[in-house]
Amino acid sequence: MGKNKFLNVLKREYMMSISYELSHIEKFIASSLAGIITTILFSMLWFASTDLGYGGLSKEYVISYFFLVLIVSKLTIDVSIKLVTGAIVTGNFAKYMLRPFNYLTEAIAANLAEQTIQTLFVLPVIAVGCYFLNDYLVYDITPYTVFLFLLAIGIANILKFLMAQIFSLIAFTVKQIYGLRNLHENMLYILSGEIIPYASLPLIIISILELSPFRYLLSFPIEILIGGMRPYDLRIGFIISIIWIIVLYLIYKIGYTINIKKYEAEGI
Amino acid sequence: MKQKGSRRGIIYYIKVSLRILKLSLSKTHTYKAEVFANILRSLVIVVPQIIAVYVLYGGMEEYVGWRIEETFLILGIFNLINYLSWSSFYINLGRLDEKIIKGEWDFLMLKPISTIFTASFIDLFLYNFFLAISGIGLIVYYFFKVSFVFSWILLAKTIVALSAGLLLWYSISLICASFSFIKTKNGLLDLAKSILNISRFPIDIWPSLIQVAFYTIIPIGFISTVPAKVITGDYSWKAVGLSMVVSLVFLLISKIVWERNILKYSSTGS
Repeated sequence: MGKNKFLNVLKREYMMSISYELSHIEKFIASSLAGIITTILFSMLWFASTDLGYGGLSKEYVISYFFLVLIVSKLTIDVSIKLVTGAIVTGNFAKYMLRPFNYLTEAIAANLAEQTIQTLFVLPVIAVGCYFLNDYLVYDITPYTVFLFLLAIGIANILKFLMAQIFSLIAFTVKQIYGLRNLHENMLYILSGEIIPYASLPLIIISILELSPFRYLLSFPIEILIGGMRPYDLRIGFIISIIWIIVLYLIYKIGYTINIKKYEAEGI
Repeated sequence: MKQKGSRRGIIYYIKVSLRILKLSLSKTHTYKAEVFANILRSLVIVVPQIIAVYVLYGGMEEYVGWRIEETFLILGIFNLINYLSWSSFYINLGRLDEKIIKGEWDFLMLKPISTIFTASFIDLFLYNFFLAISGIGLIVYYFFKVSFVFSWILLAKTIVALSAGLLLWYSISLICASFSFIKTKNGLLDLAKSILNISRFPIDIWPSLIQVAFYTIIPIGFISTVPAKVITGDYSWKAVGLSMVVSLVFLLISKIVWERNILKYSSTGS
């Protein structure tokens, strides 16, 4: 598929996904609010711990961190896992094999659409929060850090997408996928730093997580904008995340080639 | 409108429940991967929870007035109630939307049992019970950490307080699910889930005004914080009684809301 054709298909699928989301506006609002409530819960939890005075996280760090969690989690949201596993389990995946474009195009468009409207929805919340909590927000905002932040967001999206697609391959073999998908989502949620800031963890655990792909799904972009990272840490962070992209892409390609041969378009 | 099956006695519903349980057990046997995933998930859920709590305390004795083992107790109660709901009614209520859209609900309404029972307990998801074991584990851990002396009174208080918490969880879920009859895909159950998740930690982490709301308007404080206080011996029978009263009031409200909303069901999905 040529680059122009890919972009055209992507644009069409993106618009369709946006209109689908807007046609279920109540569900969208409720699920967005649910995400915001969860982030507020964990920020309150860590905020309360700052009064203990044991030299843990500062109030400023907690507020600044969870503010960014709110926006980064929306910018990296992945809905492709539900789309693809659903299609495989119900037998609908067969239609993608007849189409003149790769099924991943639709998955990417669905992700981009969800990320766009989720981010737009959360922006007013961020604006109001910034107004009231301005004294607590401490960021290192320069053109350079913003550029690195956006780059890290792009990498986070690719990593999350590849992990979702690798997981989706399980649906070719296991048809009751609900519990496994929850397990996958729970792991990403916990290990990416969405509920436990990396800065609060013991050094040994941080060292292990730094080598895993999970850090680069959420925590790494946030750490860049919060500041205090040495150029060496930044370089290492980007190198590790790019290595993971290559490794995950290879796993996906091999996994897909093996699994698609077994696929018989059966549905449950 | 008098609900079909509302005149049936408790014995009839016990028989129906046992039949559903039997069918669900055979389904659990079929979905081995799901069982395995949930055993693994119980570890994935509980290990980070334990790490998070240790990190939160940072070696200090108390956090918002709770000792570390008491926070584990709250987490245990939350996990137990949350996953008991996933094993029984929560997934059924979540699927109500789909049944309405596909027109399956029309058929289900013809069954000789109450619509609330049909919507809530038509299927059991026993493989989720493995996740509830993580809750039991944390509660047992609390009893090991404190010099626990068994008493029948404490056991009775605990069972009543936990039942009240589960009943409250059910009532809130039922209220939200019933709005599917007015508008499908309204997302209210997702919203309710995130609000109920607040009871995962002591209500004392919130500012005092919000705490008041969590004991009155949205009484999620009775789901895990109050049962934990009852088990630690801080709250007496009065609190247990109050929990039960609040839960029963919410159950009554949920029944009224359900019966009002189901009247608006137009069967257009089919």
